[in-house]
Amino acid sequence: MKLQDDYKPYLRDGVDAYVDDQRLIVTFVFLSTRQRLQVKAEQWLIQLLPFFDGVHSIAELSHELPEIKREKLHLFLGYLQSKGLLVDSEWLRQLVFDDEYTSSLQRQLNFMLDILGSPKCVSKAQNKIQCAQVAIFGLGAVGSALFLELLQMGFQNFVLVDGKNLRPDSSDRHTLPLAIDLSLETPTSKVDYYEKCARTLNKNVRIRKEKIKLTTGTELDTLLNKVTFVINFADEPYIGYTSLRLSRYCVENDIPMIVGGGFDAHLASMGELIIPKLTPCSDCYNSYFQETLKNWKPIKHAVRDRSKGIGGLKSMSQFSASSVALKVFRYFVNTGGQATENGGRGEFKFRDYSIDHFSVRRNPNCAVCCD
Amino acid sequence: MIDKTENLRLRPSVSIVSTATENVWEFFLSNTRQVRHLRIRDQRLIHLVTQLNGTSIADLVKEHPDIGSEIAHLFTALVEWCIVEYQSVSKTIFDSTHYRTLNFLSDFIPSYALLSEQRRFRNSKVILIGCGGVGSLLADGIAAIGVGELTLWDPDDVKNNNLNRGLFTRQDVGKSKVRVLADRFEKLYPDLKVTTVTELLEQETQISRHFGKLGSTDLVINAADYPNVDVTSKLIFPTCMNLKIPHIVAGGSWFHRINAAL
Amino acid sequence: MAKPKYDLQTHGFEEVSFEAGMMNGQEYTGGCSGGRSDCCTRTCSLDENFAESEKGWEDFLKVEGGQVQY
Repeated sequence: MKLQDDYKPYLRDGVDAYVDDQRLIVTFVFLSTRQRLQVKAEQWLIQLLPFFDGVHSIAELSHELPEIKREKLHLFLGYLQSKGLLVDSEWLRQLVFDDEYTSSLQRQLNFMLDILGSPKCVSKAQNKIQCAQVAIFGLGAVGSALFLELLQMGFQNFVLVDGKNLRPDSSDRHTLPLAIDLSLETPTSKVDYYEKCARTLNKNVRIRKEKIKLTTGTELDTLLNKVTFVINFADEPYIGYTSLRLSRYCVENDIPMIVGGGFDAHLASMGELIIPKLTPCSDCYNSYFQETLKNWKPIKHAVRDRSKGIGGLKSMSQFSASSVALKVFRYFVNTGGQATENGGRGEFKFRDYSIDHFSVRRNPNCAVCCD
Repeated sequence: MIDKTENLRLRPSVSIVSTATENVWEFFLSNTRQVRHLRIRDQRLIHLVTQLNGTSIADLVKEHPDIGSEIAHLFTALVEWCIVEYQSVSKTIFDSTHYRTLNFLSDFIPSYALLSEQRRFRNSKVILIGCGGVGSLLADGIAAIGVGELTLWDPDDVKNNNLNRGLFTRQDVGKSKVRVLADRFEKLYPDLKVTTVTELLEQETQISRHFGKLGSTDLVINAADYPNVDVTSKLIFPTCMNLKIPHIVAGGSWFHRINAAL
Repeated sequence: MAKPKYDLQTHGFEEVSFEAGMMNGQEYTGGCSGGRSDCCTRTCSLDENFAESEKGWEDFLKVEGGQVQY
């Protein structure tokens, strides 16, 4: 659709333009995502770029131009608009969200504009985030950090499942945004504390608290009623058990799920996204590990009570939480490339500061996720 | 120097696995996922390792004098390699609220040195410049490790558009970022001394003046990206180089949102 | 090649290799040394809480091919 003459093009914030005068190439650099777009253009067009400031209309810009150049200007502007470079200077205020929500998410919305290219797409994606109902199992060091990041991304509806209390040693790894005395005789439950934190970030947040532990007898239909996304950090008695339980339910009910990382022996692992019938499910992962670990059999340990013998750092928990948060964000923003038959697990290796990744394919004989 | 009369135990987070190669054993340190393979000739030695839960090198040598020398060498090495720990130190870890951090450090600090290293941490001073989206989380992570003094430097107040990342809530909007963090850390980390600086960083002389006031500093971290990290690094790092203070540029700044620290 | 600090002849043991990080035992092949097939996370999860509920979960999940590995 041709732009109107009274349209005032605005080269959006968060994009820098570098001009190579010799070769007449403009490089647009999207500062949030590091994307670069190079465009070769006639010199007179390049010279108009500083006037795409939301003040000068097309009519003013093309005032003394011959017809052929006016056409080219229109085409150039249309092209820049299609690439998400031109927006309405008030585009943030025109989104469907209230001012408080928009202002707190300003940087994220600009980031999304880099990826999605238009305010309309940004609005749609953020609306999906706002309306999603997310269940988080386990509010330990990683689960709690992830919960806070999701709140900061604008998620508003949660089911929080954790039966435990905060303890004096919780400050070692839990993220605790509100002051709390951990030495109190009557300890605070994790779900109560993090609900309180949530309300200090978004007064419109809706939380259903479930102070329970996930067991074989937990009734999932009621627990996950209306839930549209599940994230599992419940590692007691074992992350494998809880993930299989939840994954089977999610595959049957077509609910996407993430098995979070950061559990014992995988203190900075990056989590697995499970999209029913598209990516490997937890049973596929289980089959994979049964095969690869079949000859890896540790000797029974001499120390029986190892409950306080495992290590961890707050930063590593934060790393795992952030990697899951990014996966969730990518899923909702739907950049593509994530729904493949290959899953896998990434892991940050502390010793040499590298990230490893191995792939896991869907098991073609999986009784849970294959027809 | 390893005390051969100290009772030792296999560290709870270490697994021992046999391998396909004869006499080669894998020692897996699960906190950091390090793997060490040892060829151990005498089966009795590996048996002693796998059963180790409260015996000293001296006692093991007494019980098995014919392989006493090999026992002494092996168990000394296992302590150095953080596979085996002093039982007395493990009790101290168990009783600490920071047992997770201490167990993690034990993957690369031998048991005999762990508590003195913890004291060194407690005596260390870190300066963090920039307490925004990255800096506020960084501050929390550093405090949790157990440093003794943390200087937080940031001129800004918390704004609405800061709330999508970092450690701040709506209650903090309008308040000084460093004061918010300092107040929070006072309750969470009672052993930590926090100093705050709210000057806008514009000249290199400010750095040397404040570093002078703060005394010796063990580490400086630049998480300040306004106007950009190049400018702030140019202000901060010459002083660090002159005073020989290790320094890090934190990631997450404009145009490098997910880069790692340098 | 530099002489290793510990050698088999003198000390009865020697270091074969040291790696910065392991990915779930993929590089590993080994003979069976015990009756149980434990992955690294299971090993670290083995406390009395785990032991009590393990059978219940294994029976409930009915995983083919033996124990759950994750």
